[in-house]
Amino acid sequence: MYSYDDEPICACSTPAGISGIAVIRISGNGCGKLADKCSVIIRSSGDYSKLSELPGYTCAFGYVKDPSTDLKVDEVVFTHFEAPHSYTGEEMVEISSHGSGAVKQEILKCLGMSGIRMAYPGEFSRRAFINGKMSLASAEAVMDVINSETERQLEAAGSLMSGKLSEEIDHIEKNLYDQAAMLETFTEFDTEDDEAEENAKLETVKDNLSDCHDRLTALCEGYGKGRILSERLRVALLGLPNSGKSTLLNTLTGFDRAIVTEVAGTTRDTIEVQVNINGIPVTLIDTAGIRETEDIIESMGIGRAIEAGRGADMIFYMIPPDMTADEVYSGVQDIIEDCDSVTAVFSKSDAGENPDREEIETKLKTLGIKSFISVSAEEDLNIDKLEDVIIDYYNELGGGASEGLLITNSRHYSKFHKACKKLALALDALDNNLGTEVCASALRACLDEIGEVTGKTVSATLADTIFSRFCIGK
Amino acid sequence: MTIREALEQKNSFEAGTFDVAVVGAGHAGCEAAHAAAKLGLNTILFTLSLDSLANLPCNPSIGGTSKGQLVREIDALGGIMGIMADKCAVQMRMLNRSKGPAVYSPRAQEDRVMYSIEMKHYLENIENLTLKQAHITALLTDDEGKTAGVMTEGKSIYRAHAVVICSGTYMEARIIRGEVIIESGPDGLPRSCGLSDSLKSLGIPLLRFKTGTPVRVNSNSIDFSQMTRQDGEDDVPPFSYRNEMEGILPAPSEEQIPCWSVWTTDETRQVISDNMDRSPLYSGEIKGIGPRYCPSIEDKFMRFKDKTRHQIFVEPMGRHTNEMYLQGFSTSLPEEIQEKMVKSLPGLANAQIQRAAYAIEYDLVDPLSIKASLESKVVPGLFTAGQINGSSGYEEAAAQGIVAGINAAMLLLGKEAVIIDRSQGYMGVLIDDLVTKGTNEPYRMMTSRAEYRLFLRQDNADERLTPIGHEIGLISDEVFEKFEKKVEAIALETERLKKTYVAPTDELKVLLDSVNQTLPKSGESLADLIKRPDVTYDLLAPIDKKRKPLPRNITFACETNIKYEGYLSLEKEKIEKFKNLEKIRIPEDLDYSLIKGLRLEATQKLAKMKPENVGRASRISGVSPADCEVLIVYLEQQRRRKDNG
Repeated sequence: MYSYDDEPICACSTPAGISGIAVIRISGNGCGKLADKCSVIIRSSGDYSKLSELPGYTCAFGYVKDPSTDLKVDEVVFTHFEAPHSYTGEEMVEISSHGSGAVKQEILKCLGMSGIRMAYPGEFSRRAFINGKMSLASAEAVMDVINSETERQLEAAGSLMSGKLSEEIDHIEKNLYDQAAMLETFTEFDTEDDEAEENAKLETVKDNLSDCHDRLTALCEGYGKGRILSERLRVALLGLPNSGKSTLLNTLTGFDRAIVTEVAGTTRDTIEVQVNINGIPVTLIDTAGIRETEDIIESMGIGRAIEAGRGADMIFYMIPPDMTADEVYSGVQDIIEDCDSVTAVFSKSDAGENPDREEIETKLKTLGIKSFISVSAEEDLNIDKLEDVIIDYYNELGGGASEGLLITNSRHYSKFHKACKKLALALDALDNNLGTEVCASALRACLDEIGEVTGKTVSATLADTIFSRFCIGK
Repeated sequence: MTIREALEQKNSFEAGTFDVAVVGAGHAGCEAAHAAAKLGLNTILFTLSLDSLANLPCNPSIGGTSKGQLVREIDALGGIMGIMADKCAVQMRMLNRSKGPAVYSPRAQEDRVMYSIEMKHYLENIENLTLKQAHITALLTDDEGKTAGVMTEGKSIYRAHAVVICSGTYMEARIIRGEVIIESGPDGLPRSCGLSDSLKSLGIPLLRFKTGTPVRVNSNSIDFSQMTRQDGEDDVPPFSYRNEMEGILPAPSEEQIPCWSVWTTDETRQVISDNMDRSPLYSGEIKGIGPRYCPSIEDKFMRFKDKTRHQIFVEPMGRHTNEMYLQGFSTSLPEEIQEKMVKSLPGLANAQIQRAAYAIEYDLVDPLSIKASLESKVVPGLFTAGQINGSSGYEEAAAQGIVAGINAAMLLLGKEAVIIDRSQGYMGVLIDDLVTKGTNEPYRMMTSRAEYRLFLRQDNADERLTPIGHEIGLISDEVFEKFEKKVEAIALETERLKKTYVAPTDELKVLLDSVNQTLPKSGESLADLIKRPDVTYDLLAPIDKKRKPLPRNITFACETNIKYEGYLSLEKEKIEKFKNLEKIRIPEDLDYSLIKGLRLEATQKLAKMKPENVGRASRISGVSPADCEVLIVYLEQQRRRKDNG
């Protein structure tokens, strides 16, 4: 639960990990005065000696000091912002420091000692939102920017903020409002038109509703890609110990690609490694540390593999040369149950072809596996083909129809998905002659869903639309 | 003025003591007085003229789109408008039959004079109720500023702990025809003077609105051969559920009186545009704000320039008069122009105008100053209902009247106010809109104002409101038992339709062919068949062998519930969300300035409006969803703090 106080808060705004520089943000009215306690100004354009005296939107060079010992922590640049013209709408200070984790921790500690508390997650955006600095949709987009790590993610997040997605949604919403108003005039009043004219108008309503439905559907289809951009594509490497998983993992995460974080699984004995493949954010999951026991099932690692494979978008199923067709077939069934993209990887191809390969392929094809690739991680053979499998999977996800408009936020997706369903019901009502008011009812429910993203409410604006556009009779 | 001050006035005297005093005996006042008296309170009803009780000064009709639903709701709650409208109807129609059942709306042409006579006689026989002809000029309070009674023009003082003012269009009214302005109430009746000053002096904010009415013409002077005839219908249920239960149905269509319709001509348009400079609306003489949806004919031509003609309905005023009402032809142009306008209409070339049209301006209370119970936020014990709250229409007035009457009684009985919410009835939508959003023009009910329109049907108002009416004591045990039997019958028959499967026989094929539906491949339930377009309950009679004869209202309800099941469940989902916010109560004494994070505009609006719950707060203009979120969190924090002691 967020607290709704307006105490000064601070947090590091650049991502965790080591970087060249880091930006630490402070927000809250009076935060400059508090920060004076742990800051020293060396050079500024107007010879100001205190951070709080810096005019808004100017910078100063200086350092952060420990307020209890007066010892220098790091040389930094301070920027001062005045309320209400800042990101949060409050007085703000930004400290650009060096990027090491230790320096950042030390600066935050000094700020804490000066009376500035650590921010809760998302609290800056929350304040900006409460102070009227951004709409709910923009606030969510900012959260996505904060979480985005690759170029494509930034693009998807940016399109919501810069208004590309907003524009599309506004267009859909406005059109739906117009149709709702039109339906109301059918429902509420004797329209004084003859039947042919009325039917023609109704056809126009239908066409518009269908168009909006198509657009919403396209947006929803784009969520497949959008979700991967915000949550990453999960690829599980499954197979027996010594089937070549780790070598493949190392090759795929080779030094030319940035390893973002390395998280050791806590309960499942898995390793997750984040890489970018052709701009696509991917998490590779390696089921390491499987114990060998007498229990055949356990030694196959099936139990853990199922765990790791669950929730994965793609599975690479490793088949070393010495694995028999029966061994492959007995284990794979449970593993691939929930996943619709499974690739059989004949590993260690440098050590020779699997003698059962033909039989294995035939059996796996009966389970719906279509993709078979021989690789040698040692000799970097066909690794690019494996990458292509990932790229193709991503490219084949829907979403191209909306000119690159991608929904990345799961809440938006769920609202639009529901809106889409309700709009389909609205169209059904017209097709089945259930009456314009029934269509209108479903349409309003649809607009309610969209309104939860755009922050509008339905009934408040509907009556005005009617009055401004139509002559109303008896 | 306080009671003490009133008693000190020269010639003043104590005329009596009542629990509830109702000022004004129009549609709101009659319902309010009836409800209060029925709930056991000693009630007095004041009117300027006992011969004009429950007058219909404008349309001689009751019901219509969304208004028909209101009348049925009033009846379901235990009110009297439905019974009167059934009794005095001269023509009944069900509007919107070409549309879905959610917007079917009963509408009746009424005998205006009989309506007034019947209502007066009915109220005269109600126990605990006194009718009194008097001109009330002041609301009296006690020394603490609470409602204590009223004073008449003749200085009689009536003590009452609760006062319901239903002043209609009478307070400081002016009638306007072109350049001619007369200080008068509607329909040639006296206006009410002094009462609005009395309210103002107590700190109640007032507004000024305008409305209008068309001419009445003698039917002997009309050539009906040039008009389109509109007859009444059979198979329209009565307004009153109690009549429906007893089988008291409207007269057959052949005994009903027809209405007529014509279109305005180019000449009409010409006469109006030549004389627009003489319209008080455009010359600036009328300052009150008029209704957008019931505009005068000159307003229609001015605002919708692309429409070259408008439809006018010619309606009978009753069985014992030749007067015909020109619906849709209201105007405030001078009388000499009215003459020309009317004569430009087909069939009205020789029209003999019996009453001229006029616009009327009147004082009202800003509805933002009243609570959802219709009690004033300024003067405790004062209730207002009807046009004084900014509404328009007899049905809207009556709906508020019954709520105000009930809540005046609840207040005196020490019980919690009865609030009908937006999901329970059009009357809930009406009152909620008025008290949370306010209005800057006379507010008319429309079905599009209701979010849960598929639920708020004319056929199920009893399911929505009769249990409430019974609980508070307006609906008798006997009526309630019959109601419960009806609900049970609907449930049983719906269940049977869902569970009865029919085979794809040739007999079924013939039935389905007749509505262009294909025969199912295997057996299908009767309910699934009814869900198909154009398949009705009645259509399936030949193949539904076990069907027992049931009244039309029951089979209609079953058919509706089944046909619209999917859509009704969408609305149910919405209603649940809505109720969640309505449940979060806001203490009346909440200090909004203590809530951090609330925007200034929201703080001011909320402090002024004092909404009863978060749902209502969310509907106040200027309060954003973010503000509501902050408010919810704050209330939750307070609650937890309290729980933790």
